[in-house]
Amino acid sequence: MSATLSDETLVQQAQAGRQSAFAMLVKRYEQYAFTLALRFVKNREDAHEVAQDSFLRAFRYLPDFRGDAKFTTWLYKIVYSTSLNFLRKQNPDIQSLDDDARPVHLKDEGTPDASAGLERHDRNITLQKAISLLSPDDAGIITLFYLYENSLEEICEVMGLTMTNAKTKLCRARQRLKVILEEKFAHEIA
Amino acid sequence: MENNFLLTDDLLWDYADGFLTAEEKTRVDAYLRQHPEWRERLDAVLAEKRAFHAMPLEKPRPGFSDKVMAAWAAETHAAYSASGGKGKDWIVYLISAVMGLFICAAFVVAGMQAAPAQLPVELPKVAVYQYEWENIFGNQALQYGLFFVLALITLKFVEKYLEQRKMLERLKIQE
Repeated sequence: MSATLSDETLVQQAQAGRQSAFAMLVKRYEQYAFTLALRFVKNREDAHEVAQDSFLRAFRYLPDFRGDAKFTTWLYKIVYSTSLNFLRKQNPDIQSLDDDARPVHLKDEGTPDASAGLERHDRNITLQKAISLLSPDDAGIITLFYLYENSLEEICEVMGLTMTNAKTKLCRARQRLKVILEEKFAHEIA
Repeated sequence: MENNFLLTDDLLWDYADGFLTAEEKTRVDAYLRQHPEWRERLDAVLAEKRAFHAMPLEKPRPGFSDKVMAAWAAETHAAYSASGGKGKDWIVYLISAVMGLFICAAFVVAGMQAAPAQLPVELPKVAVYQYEWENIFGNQALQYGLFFVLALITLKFVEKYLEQRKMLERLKIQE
Protein backbone atom coordinates (compact mmCIF):
# COMPACT_ATOMS: atom_id res chain seq x y z
CA MET A 1 0.00 0.00 0.00
CA SER A 2 1.35 3.45 -0.93
CA ALA A 3 2.69 5.53 1.93
CA THR A 4 1.26 8.68 0.37
CA LEU A 5 -2.39 7.81 0.95
CA SER A 6 -4.26 10.69 2.52
CA ASP A 7 -5.77 10.43 5.98
CA GLU A 8 -9.25 10.56 4.46
CA THR A 9 -8.51 7.57 2.25
CA LEU A 10 -6.98 5.59 5.10
CA VAL A 11 -9.92 6.36 7.35
CA GLN A 12 -12.38 5.20 4.68
CA GLN A 13 -10.42 1.99 4.20
CA ALA A 14 -10.25 1.45 7.94
CA GLN A 15 -13.99 2.00 8.21
CA ALA A 16 -14.41 -0.68 5.55
CA GLY A 17 -12.44 -3.05 7.81
CA ARG A 18 -9.02 -3.08 6.16
CA GLN A 19 -6.54 -3.89 8.87
CA SER A 20 -3.60 -2.45 6.97
CA ALA A 21 -5.29 0.96 6.96
CA PHE A 22 -5.50 0.85 10.76
CA ALA A 23 -1.82 -0.08 10.92
CA MET A 24 -0.83 2.80 8.64
CA LEU A 25 -2.76 5.31 10.74
CA VAL A 26 -1.02 4.08 13.88
CA LYS A 27 2.41 4.24 12.25
CA ARG A 28 1.72 7.71 10.92
CA TYR A 29 0.52 9.25 14.18
CA GLU A 30 2.05 7.18 16.97
CA GLN A 31 4.68 9.82 17.75
CA TYR A 32 2.15 12.64 17.69
CA ALA A 33 -0.24 10.78 19.99
CA PHE A 34 2.56 9.70 22.31
CA THR A 35 4.09 13.18 22.52
CA LEU A 36 0.74 14.75 23.30
CA ALA A 37 -0.07 12.08 25.88
CA LEU A 38 3.34 12.63 27.49
CA ARG A 39 2.65 16.34 27.74
CA PHE A 40 -0.52 15.56 29.65
CA VAL A 41 0.48 12.67 31.91
CA LYS A 42 4.18 13.60 32.37
CA ASN A 43 5.35 10.00 32.56
CA ARG A 44 6.57 7.80 29.66
CA GLU A 45 5.05 4.55 30.91
CA ASP A 46 1.69 6.19 31.48
CA ALA A 47 1.95 7.95 28.13
CA HIS A 48 2.36 4.57 26.38
CA GLU A 49 -0.78 3.30 28.04
CA VAL A 50 -2.73 6.47 27.26
CA ALA A 51 -1.56 6.55 23.64
CA GLN A 52 -2.46 2.88 23.12
CA ASP A 53 -5.89 3.34 24.72
CA SER A 54 -6.44 6.41 22.57
CA PHE A 55 -5.78 4.50 19.35
CA LEU A 56 -8.05 1.66 20.45
CA ARG A 57 -10.82 4.12 21.29
CA ALA A 58 -10.30 5.87 17.96
CA PHE A 59 -10.67 2.58 16.08
CA ARG A 60 -13.64 1.54 18.19
CA TYR A 61 -15.52 4.73 17.32
CA LEU A 62 -14.17 5.09 13.79
CA PRO A 63 -17.52 4.04 12.26
CA ASP A 64 -19.01 7.18 13.83
CA PHE A 65 -16.32 9.48 12.38
CA ARG A 66 -17.96 11.44 9.60
CA GLY A 67 -14.97 13.49 8.45
CA ASP A 68 -16.42 16.83 9.59
CA ALA A 69 -13.07 17.57 11.23
CA LYS A 70 -9.58 16.39 10.40
CA PHE A 71 -8.69 12.92 11.60
CA THR A 72 -5.80 14.37 13.64
CA THR A 73 -8.11 16.79 15.43
CA TRP A 74 -10.41 13.92 16.31
CA LEU A 75 -7.49 11.73 17.43
CA TYR A 76 -5.97 14.47 19.58
CA LYS A 77 -9.36 15.06 21.18
CA ILE A 78 -9.45 11.39 22.12
CA VAL A 79 -5.90 11.61 23.50
CA TYR A 80 -6.95 14.62 25.59
CA SER A 81 -10.03 12.94 27.04
CA THR A 82 -8.17 9.65 27.62
CA SER A 83 -5.42 11.54 29.44
CA LEU A 84 -7.95 13.38 31.57
CA ASN A 85 -9.68 10.11 32.48
CA PHE A 86 -6.33 8.53 33.26
CA LEU A 87 -5.32 11.37 35.57
CA ARG A 88 -8.74 11.33 37.25
CA LYS A 89 -8.26 7.65 38.09
CA GLN A 90 -5.06 8.61 39.88
CA ASN A 91 -6.53 11.74 41.46
CA PRO A 92 -10.35 11.79 41.56
CA ASP A 93 -10.34 15.44 42.65
CA ILE A 94 -8.88 16.65 39.39
CA GLN A 95 -11.38 18.67 37.36
CA SER A 96 -9.21 20.00 34.58
CA LEU A 97 -5.64 19.92 33.39
CA ASP A 98 -5.16 23.64 33.90
CA ASP A 99 -2.80 25.25 36.32
CA ASP A 100 -4.90 28.06 37.71
CA ALA A 101 -2.99 27.84 40.97
CA ARG A 102 0.24 28.96 39.37
CA PRO A 103 0.06 32.69 38.70
CA VAL A 104 2.26 34.17 36.05
CA HIS A 105 4.99 36.48 37.32
CA LEU A 106 7.19 38.14 34.80
CA LYS A 107 10.41 39.72 36.02
CA ASP A 108 10.55 42.29 33.30
CA GLU A 109 8.20 42.83 30.42
CA GLY A 110 11.09 43.96 28.28
CA THR A 111 13.53 41.07 28.69
CA PRO A 112 14.41 39.33 25.45
CA ASP A 113 12.98 35.89 24.89
CA ALA A 114 14.75 33.47 27.12
CA SER A 115 15.50 30.72 24.66
CA ALA A 116 16.75 32.89 21.86
CA GLY A 117 20.41 32.53 22.77
CA LEU A 118 20.67 28.75 22.85
CA GLU A 119 22.29 26.49 20.34
CA ARG A 120 19.64 24.53 18.52
CA HIS A 121 20.19 21.11 20.07
CA ASP A 122 20.58 22.50 23.59
CA ARG A 123 17.58 24.68 22.96
CA ASN A 124 15.46 21.65 22.07
CA ILE A 125 16.46 19.85 25.22
CA THR A 126 15.92 22.89 27.42
CA LEU A 127 12.58 23.65 25.85
CA GLN A 128 11.42 20.06 26.31
CA LYS A 129 12.50 20.11 29.94
CA ALA A 130 10.78 23.42 30.51
CA ILE A 131 7.58 22.28 28.80
CA SER A 132 7.56 19.15 30.94
CA LEU A 133 7.36 21.43 33.98
CA LEU A 134 4.24 23.16 32.72
CA SER A 135 0.76 22.04 33.71
CA PRO A 136 -0.80 19.46 31.37
CA ASP A 137 -3.09 22.03 29.75
CA ASP A 138 -0.28 24.54 29.22
CA ALA A 139 2.07 21.90 27.82
CA GLY A 140 -0.70 20.53 25.64
CA ILE A 141 -1.76 23.83 24.13
CA ILE A 142 1.84 24.87 23.43
CA THR A 143 2.44 21.51 21.74
CA LEU A 144 -0.72 21.64 19.70
CA PHE A 145 -0.26 25.21 18.50
CA TYR A 146 3.48 25.59 18.01
CA LEU A 147 4.72 22.04 17.41
CA TYR A 148 1.75 20.51 15.60
CA GLU A 149 0.71 23.88 14.09
CA ASN A 150 -2.96 23.29 14.77
CA SER A 151 -5.22 26.28 14.32
CA LEU A 152 -7.01 27.81 17.29
CA GLU A 153 -10.29 26.37 15.99
CA GLU A 154 -8.79 22.87 16.03
CA ILE A 155 -7.39 23.42 19.52
CA CYS A 156 -10.82 24.56 20.70
CA GLU A 157 -12.25 21.33 19.28
CA VAL A 158 -9.56 19.17 20.94
CA MET A 159 -9.63 20.77 24.38
CA GLY A 160 -13.26 21.87 24.53
CA LEU A 161 -12.48 25.60 24.75
CA THR A 162 -13.94 28.77 23.32
CA MET A 163 -11.75 30.90 21.04
CA THR A 164 -11.29 33.52 23.75
CA ASN A 165 -10.32 30.90 26.33
CA ALA A 166 -7.91 29.25 23.93
CA LYS A 167 -6.14 32.55 23.17
CA THR A 168 -5.91 33.38 26.86
CA LYS A 169 -4.63 29.94 27.73
CA LEU A 170 -2.01 30.09 24.99
CA CYS A 171 -0.84 33.48 26.17
CA ARG A 172 -0.61 32.34 29.80
CA ALA A 173 1.14 29.12 28.79
CA ARG A 174 3.79 31.10 26.95
CA GLN A 175 4.25 33.41 29.90
CA ARG A 176 4.56 30.53 32.35
CA LEU A 177 7.05 28.86 30.04
CA LYS A 178 9.07 32.03 29.94
CA VAL A 179 9.07 32.20 33.74
CA ILE A 180 10.24 28.58 33.96
CA LEU A 181 13.01 29.17 31.45
CA GLU A 182 14.18 32.25 33.33
CA GLU A 183 13.94 30.76 36.82
CA LYS A 184 15.08 27.20 36.31
CA PHE A 185 17.23 27.24 33.21
CA ALA A 186 18.88 30.62 33.49
CA HIS A 187 22.34 28.97 33.68
CA GLU A 188 21.71 27.17 30.39
CA ILE A 189 20.48 30.30 28.73
CA ALA A 190 23.24 32.57 29.91
CA MET B 1 -0.57 56.36 12.88
CA GLU B 2 -2.27 56.98 16.23
CA ASN B 3 0.09 58.57 18.76
CA ASN B 4 -1.40 56.66 21.70
CA PHE B 5 -0.83 53.22 20.22
CA LEU B 6 1.67 51.17 22.18
CA LEU B 7 2.91 47.78 21.20
CA THR B 8 3.22 45.15 23.93
CA ASP B 9 4.81 41.72 24.02
CA ASP B 10 1.40 40.05 24.06
CA LEU B 11 0.30 42.02 21.03
CA LEU B 12 3.58 41.20 19.31
CA TRP B 13 2.97 37.49 19.89
CA ASP B 14 -0.60 37.83 18.64
CA TYR B 15 0.82 39.48 15.55
CA ALA B 16 3.34 36.68 15.06
CA ASP B 17 0.65 34.03 15.65
CA GLY B 18 -1.74 35.59 13.14
CA PHE B 19 -4.47 36.48 15.66
CA LEU B 20 -4.83 40.13 14.71
CA THR B 21 -7.46 41.59 12.44
CA ALA B 22 -6.33 43.28 9.21
CA GLU B 23 -6.70 46.70 10.83
CA GLU B 24 -4.70 45.74 13.91
CA LYS B 25 -2.00 44.17 11.72
CA THR B 26 -1.69 47.35 9.69
CA ARG B 27 -1.30 49.36 12.88
CA VAL B 28 1.44 47.04 14.16
CA ASP B 29 3.22 47.06 10.79
CA ALA B 30 3.34 50.83 10.92
CA TYR B 31 4.62 50.78 14.51
CA LEU B 32 7.34 48.28 13.62
CA ARG B 33 8.52 50.50 10.78
CA GLN B 34 8.81 53.38 13.21
CA HIS B 35 10.51 51.37 15.99
CA PRO B 36 13.34 49.12 14.80
CA GLU B 37 13.96 47.79 18.34
CA TRP B 38 10.52 46.21 18.22
CA ARG B 39 11.42 44.75 14.84
CA GLU B 40 14.30 42.98 16.57
CA ARG B 41 11.97 41.69 19.25
CA LEU B 42 9.64 40.40 16.56
CA ASP B 43 12.58 38.54 15.02
CA ALA B 44 13.29 37.01 18.43
CA VAL B 45 9.63 35.98 18.75
CA LEU B 46 9.69 34.38 15.31
CA ALA B 47 12.92 32.58 16.24
CA GLU B 48 11.28 31.22 19.35
CA LYS B 49 8.30 30.01 17.31
CA ARG B 50 10.69 28.25 14.96
CA ALA B 51 12.39 26.69 17.99
CA PHE B 52 9.05 25.35 19.23
CA HIS B 53 8.25 23.91 15.83
CA ALA B 54 11.70 22.35 15.48
CA MET B 55 11.40 20.35 18.71
CA PRO B 56 11.58 16.63 17.93
CA LEU B 57 8.59 14.44 18.65
CA GLU B 58 8.84 11.98 21.51
CA LYS B 59 9.23 8.40 20.31
CA PRO B 60 7.29 5.57 21.92
CA ARG B 61 9.11 2.34 22.64
CA PRO B 62 9.89 0.07 19.65
CA GLY B 63 7.02 -2.19 18.70
CA PHE B 64 4.38 0.23 19.96
CA SER B 65 2.36 0.12 16.76
CA ASP B 66 2.52 -3.71 16.67
CA LYS B 67 1.25 -3.80 20.22
CA VAL B 68 -1.64 -1.50 19.33
CA MET B 69 -2.58 -3.65 16.34
CA ALA B 70 -2.38 -6.84 18.40
CA ALA B 71 -4.64 -5.31 21.03
CA TRP B 72 -7.05 -4.19 18.32
CA ALA B 73 -7.07 -7.65 16.71
CA ALA B 74 -7.74 -9.25 20.10
CA GLU B 75 -10.56 -6.81 20.80
CA THR B 76 -12.13 -7.40 17.38
CA HIS B 77 -11.93 -11.18 17.77
CA ALA B 78 -13.40 -11.01 21.27
CA ALA B 79 -16.25 -8.86 20.00
CA TYR B 80 -17.00 -11.39 17.26
CA SER B 81 -17.01 -14.30 19.69
CA ALA B 82 -19.22 -12.40 22.12
CA SER B 83 -21.71 -11.57 19.37
CA GLY B 84 -22.95 -15.20 19.40
CA GLY B 85 -21.73 -15.97 15.91
CA LYS B 86 -20.91 -19.52 16.96
CA GLY B 87 -24.22 -20.13 18.75
CA LYS B 88 -26.26 -20.13 15.57
CA ASP B 89 -24.32 -23.01 14.02
CA TRP B 90 -26.58 -25.67 15.56
CA ILE B 91 -29.41 -24.60 13.27
CA VAL B 92 -27.30 -25.27 10.22
CA TYR B 93 -26.08 -28.60 11.56
CA LEU B 94 -29.61 -29.75 12.45
CA ILE B 95 -31.05 -28.90 9.08
CA SER B 96 -28.06 -30.47 7.34
CA ALA B 97 -28.42 -33.64 9.42
CA VAL B 98 -32.12 -33.97 8.67
CA MET B 99 -31.59 -33.42 4.95
CA GLY B 100 -28.64 -35.77 4.97
CA LEU B 101 -30.65 -38.51 6.67
CA PHE B 102 -33.50 -37.99 4.28
CA ILE B 103 -31.26 -38.22 1.22
CA CYS B 104 -29.41 -41.27 2.57
CA ALA B 105 -32.67 -43.04 3.40
CA ALA B 106 -33.98 -42.28 -0.08
CA PHE B 107 -30.88 -43.76 -1.69
CA VAL B 108 -30.96 -46.87 0.52
CA VAL B 109 -34.61 -47.56 -0.15
CA ALA B 110 -34.21 -46.94 -3.86
CA GLY B 111 -31.20 -49.21 -3.92
CA MET B 112 -32.98 -52.00 -2.15
CA GLN B 113 -35.90 -51.78 -4.52
CA ALA B 114 -33.61 -51.90 -7.51
CA ALA B 115 -31.67 -54.92 -6.27
CA PRO B 116 -31.80 -57.87 -8.71
CA ALA B 117 -33.97 -60.88 -7.81
CA GLN B 118 -31.02 -63.23 -7.64
CA LEU B 119 -27.71 -62.10 -6.11
CA PRO B 120 -24.37 -63.85 -5.86
CA VAL B 121 -24.76 -63.78 -2.10
CA GLU B 122 -27.87 -64.21 -0.11
CA LEU B 123 -28.89 -60.98 1.54
CA PRO B 124 -30.98 -60.99 4.71
CA LYS B 125 -34.65 -60.59 4.05
CA VAL B 126 -35.77 -57.09 4.98
CA ALA B 127 -39.33 -56.04 4.93
CA VAL B 128 -39.41 -53.03 2.69
CA TYR B 129 -42.35 -50.86 2.42
CA GLN B 130 -43.11 -50.11 -1.20
CA TYR B 131 -43.21 -46.38 -1.30
CA GLU B 132 -45.17 -44.72 -3.97
CA TRP B 133 -42.52 -42.15 -4.83
CA GLU B 134 -44.66 -40.45 -7.43
CA ASN B 135 -47.35 -39.72 -4.87
CA ILE B 136 -44.86 -38.58 -2.28
CA PHE B 137 -42.79 -36.29 -4.46
CA GLY B 138 -45.80 -35.19 -6.35
CA ASN B 139 -47.20 -33.70 -3.18
CA GLN B 140 -46.95 -29.94 -3.66
CA ALA B 141 -46.74 -29.17 0.03
CA LEU B 142 -43.70 -31.41 0.30
CA GLN B 143 -42.16 -29.81 -2.74
CA TYR B 144 -42.63 -26.32 -1.33
CA GLY B 145 -41.32 -27.50 2.01
CA LEU B 146 -38.18 -28.96 0.44
CA PHE B 147 -37.54 -25.82 -1.59
CA PHE B 148 -37.98 -23.68 1.52
CA VAL B 149 -35.58 -25.81 3.53
CA LEU B 150 -32.99 -25.85 0.75
CA ALA B 151 -33.28 -22.09 0.33
CA LEU B 152 -32.88 -21.61 4.08
CA ILE B 153 -29.76 -23.77 4.11
CA THR B 154 -28.31 -21.92 1.14
CA LEU B 155 -28.92 -18.52 2.74
CA LYS B 156 -27.42 -19.72 5.97
CA PHE B 157 -24.25 -20.92 4.26
CA VAL B 158 -23.96 -17.62 2.37
CA GLU B 159 -24.35 -15.71 5.64
CA LYS B 160 -21.69 -17.80 7.34
CA TYR B 161 -19.35 -17.36 4.40
CA LEU B 162 -19.74 -13.58 4.39
CA GLU B 163 -19.26 -13.38 8.17
CA GLN B 164 -16.09 -15.44 8.03
CA ARG B 165 -14.73 -13.40 5.15
CA LYS B 166 -15.36 -10.17 7.05
CA MET B 167 -13.72 -11.63 10.11
CA LEU B 168 -10.66 -12.72 8.13
CA GLU B 169 -10.34 -9.22 6.71
CA ARG B 170 -10.44 -7.76 10.19
CA LEU B 171 -7.95 -10.20 11.65
CA LYS B 172 -5.48 -9.75 8.79
CA ILE B 173 -2.44 -7.90 10.03
CA GLN B 174 -0.75 -7.41 6.71
CA GLU B 175 -1.91 -7.72 3.16
